[in-house]
Amino acid sequence: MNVHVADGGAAFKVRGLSVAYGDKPALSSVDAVFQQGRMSAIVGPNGAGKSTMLKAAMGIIPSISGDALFFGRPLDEVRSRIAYVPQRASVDWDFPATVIDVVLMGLYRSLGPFTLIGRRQREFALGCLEEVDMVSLADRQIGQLSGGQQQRVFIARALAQKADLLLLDEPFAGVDAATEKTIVTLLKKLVREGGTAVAVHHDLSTVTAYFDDVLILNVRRIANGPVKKAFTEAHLAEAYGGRLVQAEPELI
Amino acid sequence: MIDIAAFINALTFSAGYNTAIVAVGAILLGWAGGTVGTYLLLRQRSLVSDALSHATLPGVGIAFLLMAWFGGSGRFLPGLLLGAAISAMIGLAGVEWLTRRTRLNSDAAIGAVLSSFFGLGVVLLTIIQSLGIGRQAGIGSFLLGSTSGMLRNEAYTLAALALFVAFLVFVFRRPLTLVCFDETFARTSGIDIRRTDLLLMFLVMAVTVTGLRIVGLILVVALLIIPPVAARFWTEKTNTMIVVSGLVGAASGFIGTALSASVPNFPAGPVIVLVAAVLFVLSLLLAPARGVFYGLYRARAFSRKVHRRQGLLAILRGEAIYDKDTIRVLKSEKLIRGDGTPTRAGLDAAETAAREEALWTIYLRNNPDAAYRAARMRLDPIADRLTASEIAELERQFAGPSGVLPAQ
Amino acid sequence: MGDLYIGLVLVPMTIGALAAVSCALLGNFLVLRKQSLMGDAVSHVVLPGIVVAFILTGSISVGPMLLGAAAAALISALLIELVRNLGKVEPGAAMGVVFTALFALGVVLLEQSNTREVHFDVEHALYGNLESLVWLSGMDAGSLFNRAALADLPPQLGRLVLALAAVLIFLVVFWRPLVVSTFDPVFAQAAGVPVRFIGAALISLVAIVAVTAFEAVGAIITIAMLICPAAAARLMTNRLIPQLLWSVLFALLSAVVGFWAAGSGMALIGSGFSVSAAGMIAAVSGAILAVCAFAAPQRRGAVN
Repeated sequence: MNVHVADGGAAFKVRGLSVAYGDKPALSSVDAVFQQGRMSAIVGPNGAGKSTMLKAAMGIIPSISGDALFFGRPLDEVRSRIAYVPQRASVDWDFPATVIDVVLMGLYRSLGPFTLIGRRQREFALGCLEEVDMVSLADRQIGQLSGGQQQRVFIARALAQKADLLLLDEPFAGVDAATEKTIVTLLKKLVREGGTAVAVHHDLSTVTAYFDDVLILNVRRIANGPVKKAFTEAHLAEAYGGRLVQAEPELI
Repeated sequence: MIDIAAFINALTFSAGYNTAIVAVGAILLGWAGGTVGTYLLLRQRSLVSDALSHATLPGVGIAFLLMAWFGGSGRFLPGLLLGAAISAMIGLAGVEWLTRRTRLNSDAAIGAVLSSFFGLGVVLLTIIQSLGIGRQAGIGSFLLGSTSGMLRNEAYTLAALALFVAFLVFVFRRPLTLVCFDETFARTSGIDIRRTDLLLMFLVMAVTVTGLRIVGLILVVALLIIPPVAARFWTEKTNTMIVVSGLVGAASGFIGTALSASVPNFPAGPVIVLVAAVLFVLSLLLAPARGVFYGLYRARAFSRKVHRRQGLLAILRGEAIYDKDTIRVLKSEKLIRGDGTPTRAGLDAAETAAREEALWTIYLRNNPDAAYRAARMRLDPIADRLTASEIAELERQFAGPSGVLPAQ
Repeated sequence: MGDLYIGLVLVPMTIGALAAVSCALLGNFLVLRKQSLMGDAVSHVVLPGIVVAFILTGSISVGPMLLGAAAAALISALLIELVRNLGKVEPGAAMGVVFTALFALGVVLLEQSNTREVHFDVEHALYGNLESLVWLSGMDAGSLFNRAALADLPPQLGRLVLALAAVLIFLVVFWRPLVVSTFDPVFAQAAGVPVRFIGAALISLVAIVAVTAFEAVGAIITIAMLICPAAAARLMTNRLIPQLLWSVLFALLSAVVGFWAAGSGMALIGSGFSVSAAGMIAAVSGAILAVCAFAAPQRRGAVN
């Protein structure tokens, strides 16, 4: 049932990852591999543990067992090569900051504690905003952005991190069609240039169009591999059961 | 230190008439506070009561000044409580207004109202002091409460108020429970949510004002917050929680006043709060439903099962085990030796685990909707979770129609 | 006024202003992190800390008391986290449980021990005695350069200068991680920001400032200044640094106007009342917030 993939060029890999909230399991011994230079989706019904998997891999929530490797190494050694894009709804957008302030947060790891933000950094951040068509809004208060624009700001911040691996938690949840297209095009370009993107995704109808590989998850791994082989009717039925309807973005 | 005879006397309401009246008042107040507090907690507005109680102080001060102005005794309790109630309502309106009309969240609004009203109250208290009419007697006791110097009239007033509040809570318990339990359902069954919330705030105000004189305005919120939080550890059901919380509150009031009456220098207010706090700690640690010890035990047991299963599967695949916890669990069950090689029992257990994994996989394929539940079940021996006939059916499917194992 | 102005007015007013500004600066981050009431909780548990320190050391010297208070503040922050996580209780309720229980414990311990001899009571703890922090050697401007006279300054002044310095150093050194983890803790953690450390450092600093300010000016100013100026500043602007500056301005305004109103203001309206300066400062800060809530340019949030 599991489609085997060679993991020679794995950008991101989890082994035996188990996570529980108290004694309520969220992930049960999940193995998964995400290849370098490819765009992968993590799909599954609500409460399947999709976001949990990314968060546990990034050490944001504790896991019971298992580990995550990035480019074959533990997180701490390669943190600078990874950009994590949280769910848009996880922050309070009524924060006193402008669009460019948020993008500049992406420079956190590359700036020393006392380096001041200068013209060079601002130019660079504007370049990142250019990629998501947001330059004209650079000085806007973030509270005035639409959902799609908020997501673009998050993507621009991830670009500012100059990472080789992007982990995105529901990047298309509640965004407009134009934003979705912009983000997909951008991610595809990054992947063509050798980058890797892994996104928690809830719209089954676009999996084939957007992604190369897929992980189908429902607490345990159902299937993992190229979309053509893994994204099958049978696997989806196994994951979603009777609920094979458009899944809502999960909130965990 | 504690005078047992006096304590028993107090517990049996025979430590003097005033003490008995105060005790009855404290029990009723504790019950009302615990019950109303449960609704507050369920509506996630516990700390609104903190703003409310601090906001009573300016009202107390103004009432005192007014009554003294008109030649009365500033200490007239019903007058002071009326002042407290009015300024508490103004404070509450301030919190509502700040959260609704500005971008500030309720935290900041509560803190702002609490501190500025309290500041104003202190200003008024110092005015009263410098007028030389307060002698701090009546007013000071509103900060921390006191029952020792209480007049008989005051005890009656408080007991009557507590009885009245308890009565109101009892009368309105149904709509309140419904709104807290299921807002949508409450709305469809014709309950006005906004009015019910206002009623809740009124009850909170009533408990606070009644509690001022006994527990004091700094600690009176404890009557509304501690019992429901303690009750929550005992149950997942709203109705049970309301009852348990009321009982915790009543017990705190009862034991607290009794202790205070029988131990010298044991002020009633703080002691009632401490009794509630002790009940809270006991609940936090020992309650079976959500208590810490039981929760830790379950989480550990679950984590152990996960490691056991993963270790066994690793043995079967001939992989080395690195996870320290996994090694510890397997060693403790003598499934591997000190050098990490599996024992006979370990190999057998691994075989069983592999077979059960395979059966569970088929079970999940048949019942996809059970994924969440099954993630926990599948760590137990399959015979504990499924009936013999279910297992037999899974085994039949496992072998396949041709009797050959399907590809994994 | 005249000769005694510096000693009787300026010094206590400066003490109030220092406490107010230190609290207000930190308060901005508490407001943004929706932890405003941590200041309230921390200020309440200072009482049991001081009482326990007194019981343990038997003295009322400042050192042990400050230590005890700071320890109690940190313990309470830990307990709140513990109750929240272990009991899965919402933060507000967890806070309410912990600070009322500890405060009650403080009062009972106070009543049980013989602290009455040492002239310390709950009311003093709540509203301090700013008016008494005078500098009697401060006769004229010349005293500012007189070493002997300076040695006579209330020691609270020096401690509060240190506390403010600590706050400023913290903000400068940890500015970036503090802002990132306040805005987006999940991202911050993924990017390797020591989120927990920053959170703990912020609360510790709130505790230290609360304790220092508390000893000088009482708990009310501390609570009011941790919340009101920052909340009012939040309504003035949509940029973080301007918000901090507004909060400092509001804190100074509260301290100066409040202190003046409690003393000279009362005399001015011909009343002989002596009024608590601490209470007045808190009330003024609330009034400033009320004005901002009515009229400040950014009072409505963009997102709702």
